[in-house]
Order: sequence, then structure tokens, then C-alpha cells
Amino acid sequence: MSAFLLQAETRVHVVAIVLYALATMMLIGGRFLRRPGLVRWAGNVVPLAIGVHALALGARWAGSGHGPYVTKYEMLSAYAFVTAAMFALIVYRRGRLQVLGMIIYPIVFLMMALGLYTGAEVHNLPPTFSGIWLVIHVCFYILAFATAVIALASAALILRGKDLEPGARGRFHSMESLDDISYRFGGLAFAFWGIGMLTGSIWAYYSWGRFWGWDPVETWSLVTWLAFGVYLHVRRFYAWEGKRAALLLIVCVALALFSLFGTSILSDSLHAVYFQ
Amino acid sequence: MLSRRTVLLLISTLGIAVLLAALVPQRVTSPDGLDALQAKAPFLVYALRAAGLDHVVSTWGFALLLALCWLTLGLATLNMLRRDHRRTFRPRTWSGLSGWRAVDDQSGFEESLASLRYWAAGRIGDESRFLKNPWNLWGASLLHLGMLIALAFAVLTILTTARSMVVLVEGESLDATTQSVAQDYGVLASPLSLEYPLELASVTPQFWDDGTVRQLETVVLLGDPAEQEQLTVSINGSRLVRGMRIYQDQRFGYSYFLTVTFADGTESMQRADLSQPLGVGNPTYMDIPLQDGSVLRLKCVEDPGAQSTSDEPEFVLRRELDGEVVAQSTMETDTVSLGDVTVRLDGRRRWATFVLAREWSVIPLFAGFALVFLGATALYVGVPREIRLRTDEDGQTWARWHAYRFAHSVDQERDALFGSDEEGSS
Ligand code: HEM
Repeated sequence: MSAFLLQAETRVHVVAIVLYALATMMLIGGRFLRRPGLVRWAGNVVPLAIGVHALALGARWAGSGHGPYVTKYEMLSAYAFVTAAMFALIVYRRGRLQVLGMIIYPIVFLMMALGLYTGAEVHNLPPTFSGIWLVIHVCFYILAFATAVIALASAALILRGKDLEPGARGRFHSMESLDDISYRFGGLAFAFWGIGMLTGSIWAYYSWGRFWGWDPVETWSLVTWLAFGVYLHVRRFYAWEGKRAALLLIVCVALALFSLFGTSILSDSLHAVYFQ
Repeated sequence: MLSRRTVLLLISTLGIAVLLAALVPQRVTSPDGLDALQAKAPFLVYALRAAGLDHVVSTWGFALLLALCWLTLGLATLNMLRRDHRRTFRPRTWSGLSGWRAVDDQSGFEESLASLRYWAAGRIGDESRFLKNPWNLWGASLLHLGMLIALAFAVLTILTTARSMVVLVEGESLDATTQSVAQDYGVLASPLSLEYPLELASVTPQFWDDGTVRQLETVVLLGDPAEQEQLTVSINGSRLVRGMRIYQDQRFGYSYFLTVTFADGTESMQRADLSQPLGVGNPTYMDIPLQDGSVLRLKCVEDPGAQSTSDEPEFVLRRELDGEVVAQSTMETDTVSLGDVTVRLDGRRRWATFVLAREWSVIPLFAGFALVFLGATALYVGVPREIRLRTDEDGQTWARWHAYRFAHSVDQERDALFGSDEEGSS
């Protein structure tokens, strides 16, 4: 049964990639060809893609017997799923933000494709991978990633420098509101990252008997958090906004990406054992 | 001391120091990386060592930086707490400020406020206050207070924790006199010594199909035989008992108790602790130098026919003299001959490694973390906002709206209450 589920999961995963890619093309095509119907259709394809993606993750969970947080494939898929789902929820409440999807959905399907490239084999759960602190730790890093990607998408549009639809002064199209979104989501990424890091330290305490070990993953994680702290301070203290703030945020998100996916290949990290 | 520039400088310096600790191989966490760098660029490593960059976080400079951060953090937190207390409980009136808008239907307006989940928070002078998400105002204070507490208790934990690592064989008992494999304790702590015996009763590993460890569970008995307490410890399942936390380390294996008899009839007893071989193709080794100058090389290996990790790995012995193999044999009976030496297996039991720690300050440390969670989330999740209503001498009601942060995110609500035009404002 579990072999069947795992085999089916990879196929469903590919279908979800195709659906996200289709939604991206519809969004971009609709915007540039000025065909609002296409953009509306993209809005219908996205929930379908998320549903199919959820199915893939569910099958993986049932087939492997553990949550999607052991291999790179699982992590990338889980990160992509939460990003897409969180963004879809935001669009549900503020439809005009759908324009950010032109950046967010490509990130989502590229991550899923990269996951396939890293290999879909199942790895067994190491004995330290248990307990509530692990679950909280992983969940908050995933939330931090999702919020950081949304902040990044707003920052990228701010760097583009024009109101999103020339002539249209819709509330969520203004630079100020985009700037607010990148500030707030950057702040949320900081908050979730902090919670992820600190619950990770509680988990480490119960697993290894030490709450902080200056392991490369921990160290890079702290660097990232401090970088977000600097970003938020300059916004607060010097009222940085617009392109300057957007650029600094992009540096912070790049650091976050490196901390999440780059450091685990460093061989002397304790975490490297897990994210093979 | 609290200028914005100072604060930014401190956080940036902290960030750069931690970045250096991530980029330069550190003496404690990455000794192999440092050796490899030394082989490639000896002068660079010399310079790094001279600057203390091979152990950034244990330098005096880093300690000083942390102390400065802590002090400024303390002062800033105090200011923030005072400000948030005033803003929440003893705010000033807004009568001198601009931006008041005429409200025609006061009771309808108040109903709209209630449906938007504003709550009436009493009066300031002749103004009625309506608040939404007021606790989010406290985000920065809580975040910084949490960091202040966490940093203080993290340092205290480091200074006051005593830990020791011990290896026990099934049936073996540990008391104050037993030597530990490794010991470390902070400058304000004394070495950890056991006040009551600790006996390892059993070691039960579980394996996955690919031979890797699924779980390791041990049963330990604590206290004198008359009032022994039985505890089960597992990986990620540490136990706090009588003020001491017992962790199950991931290292375990077999202890072979051997008697080596030499040609002249002398005997020597040896205990060989070999690690558990994990699956086929992952043997573990150990060397024992013998008194006749030869070396007994031991191997614990999974039978190639085994599907996974089993309970019965093979035990192979080889005797070497001056690098030449004298004899090799698998221990299938109780005794094997290796040239003119015989080796008798007196027993085989499992061993496991434990970390014992005595510390008291992790709970306040984790409480500091909780404040960081609350504060950071409060800062960005909800937008704290306030509306004041006042009625002038002509009976006209005026309202003023203020979002303390992220006003653009909630301007829909403001427009719903006041309309998006600027008319009717004073
Ligand atoms: C070195 C000592 C520090 C001092 C003296 C300090 C001081 C301050 C002050 C005065 C504020 C403005 C708060 C307000 O007016 O409500 C602030 C905001 C903030 N600080 Fe710090 N801070 C320090 C360290 C840190 C660190 C290490 C971090 C996390 C990495 C951090 C994260 C923040 C955040 C997230 C804000 C809110 C920014 C915003 O308004 O969006 N701070 N800090």
C-alpha cells in the first residue's frame, strides 16, 4: 500500500507543478495581453493546484509514515505548499494582491521541480525526529519562508518602480501599500523565524542536551534573524521605505534561503545528517 | 548610549561577529575544517588565530559586545515599557490634534465600531476611547524584554551547568567514584558528582529496514537498592529526576569481556566496547595493544546474509605483530586461538552512552523565548488602532482615527467608517 501511495505521489506532485505553471502563465498572459478573463481563470486554477498538491503531500505522509520534513524533496514541497496556500488565503481576502502571484507561483513550482531533481526517495526518520518541539520548529520555519516569499514578491514589484497598472489607482496597487506589505510580511518572517529558531533550540536541548551549539545551521539562522532585525530597525528608526528598504529585504531573504537550503550541505553540521 | 546609530551599530556588529563564526571554521565546532584550512593556508590560520577568529563566540570581545547589547537592550526595554504603559492606560487627549471628522449618527457609528470589534475603553477628558488590538502596541517591549531575559539566562545556564558523559554496560552501576568520559562545567558550577547510584538495567535498540537506528531505549535504576526508582530513557526522551537530567546519547554497542592467555600462561582481562554496526557493510573496529607487543584488532560486523541490523553481529578477532597478520578468527565458540595466544569470551553485553546534566536556568530561559514569540508576533500580526469621539459645544460629534502602525493595511476599514473623501475633517 505504501509503495503504491509513494509511486502515485510523485505523479500527483508533477500534476501540481503543471497546474501552478499553468496558473502563472495565465496570470502573466492576462496582465500583459490585458485579458482579465485569463487572470480570473488563473484564480480558479490555483485552488485546484493547491488541492492536488495537498493530495500529493498527504499521500507522501501516509506512504512514508512521517511528515514531509526529512528529505530536501519533502521540505521543498512543504515550503512550496504553505507559501501557495498562505498566498491564496491572502488573495481570497484582498483580491488585488493576486498580481504578486506572478512572482510567487513560479517560486512555488520551481521549488517543487527542484525537489524532484534532488530525489524523491523516502528516508527513515532519525530517532531525534520526534516530539512537539520538532513539529513547532519545522512549522514556524515553513511559515517564516512563506511570509518571506510574500515580502520578497512585494519588494521585487517595488523595485520595478512603477505603480502596477499605469493609470489604475486601486488601493492595493499603490507603492505605499506594497511597501506596507513587504514591511509587515518581512516582520512576520522575522517573528516566525525567531520562533522557529528558539523552538529548535528547545528541541535541541531535549534531544542533545544543549540548547545552542553554534552548529553552522544554527549560526546562519542567527545571522539571518539579526539581518532581519537590522532591516526592521532601519525601517523603524530611519523610516526607510521604497526601493532602499526593498533591496535590504531581498538581502535578508537571500540569507534566509541560504540558511534553509544552503547550509545543510555543509558536512560538519549536525543538521546535515537529516536533510540528505 | 541609546542613540539609534549606537543600537544599529551594536546589532550589526553582533551580526557580523556571528557571520564570522559561520564563515571561519571554529576550533570547537569544526576542528577538521580548521586543520584543512591550516594545511592550505597556514598564514591565514595564524592570522585568524591571532585575532581570535577561530573561536569568535568565546572571545572577550564577543562577551563585551553581548554585555553592551544587554545593557542598551535593558535601557531601551525600560523606556518602551513605560511608553506602552502610558499609551495603553494613561494616554493624553487628542484635542489639540488635527484630523477630526464629523460624525452625524453617533450611536450608529458606535455600533459600527462594535461590529468591527473595537472595544470601549473609557474616557480621557471629554473624549471616549475605542481600541482595537491594543495589546499589539506592546510588541516591541515584549520582544526586547524576552531577548533581555533569554540572553541573561542563556549566559547563566552556560556559567552554572555541570555536565558529564558516561558509558555504562548493562548491569553496571555508576556512583560518585566512577570516571566519566567527558566532563564540562561552567565557571560558577562544580563538577557533576552523583549523590546516588545509577545502574543501567537494559539497552533496547530498534532498527529500520536499512539498518539505521530507529530508537534506543534504556532502563536505568536510580538510588540505593532498597529504594530504587526505575526510569526509561530514550533518544529525545530525556528524564529529569532528582534535579538531574539524564539524556540518552545516540552511541551504543556491545561490550565484549575477554580473557587473553599468553604462551607463558599469564592472563589479561580486557573489556572491548565496540559500536553497534549499522547494517551490512558498516563494521566497527577497535584495537587493543597486548603486553607481548602484538595488537588485537577487533571487528563487529553484520552477517552479509542479514536483512538489516540484527542482535547477533559477528565478532572477528585478528592478531597482528609488527603490522603482519599472525592469525584471524571469528568468535563462534567461547575460545579462539590466535597463534600462541588464546582468547576466551567471558560475556557480551550492551553498552550505551548517557549525558547527565545539572542545571536550573533553562525554564526562565525558555520563558524569555516565549516573550520573544509573543512580542514579535504582536508587532506584525495585528494593527493596533484607536478611535476617539468627542462632542463639541454645538452638539456636533467628532471622531479621530489613528493606526499606530501599518495604516495602509487597514485603510479599507478607515474608509468604511469615514468614507475616503477628505470632507468633513477638522
Ligand atoms: C542591542 C540592543 C537593542 C536595542 C537597544 C534595541 C532598541 C529598539 C528600539 C528603541 C526599538 C523601537 C521600538 C518602538 O519604538 O516601539 C526597537 C525596535 C525593534 N527591535 Fe530592537 N533593539 C535592540 C536589539 C534588537 C535585536 C537583537 C533585535 C532582533 C534581531 C531587535 C528587533 C527589533 C524589532 C523587530 C523592532 C521593531 C521594529 C518595527 O517597528 O518594525 N532589536 N529596538
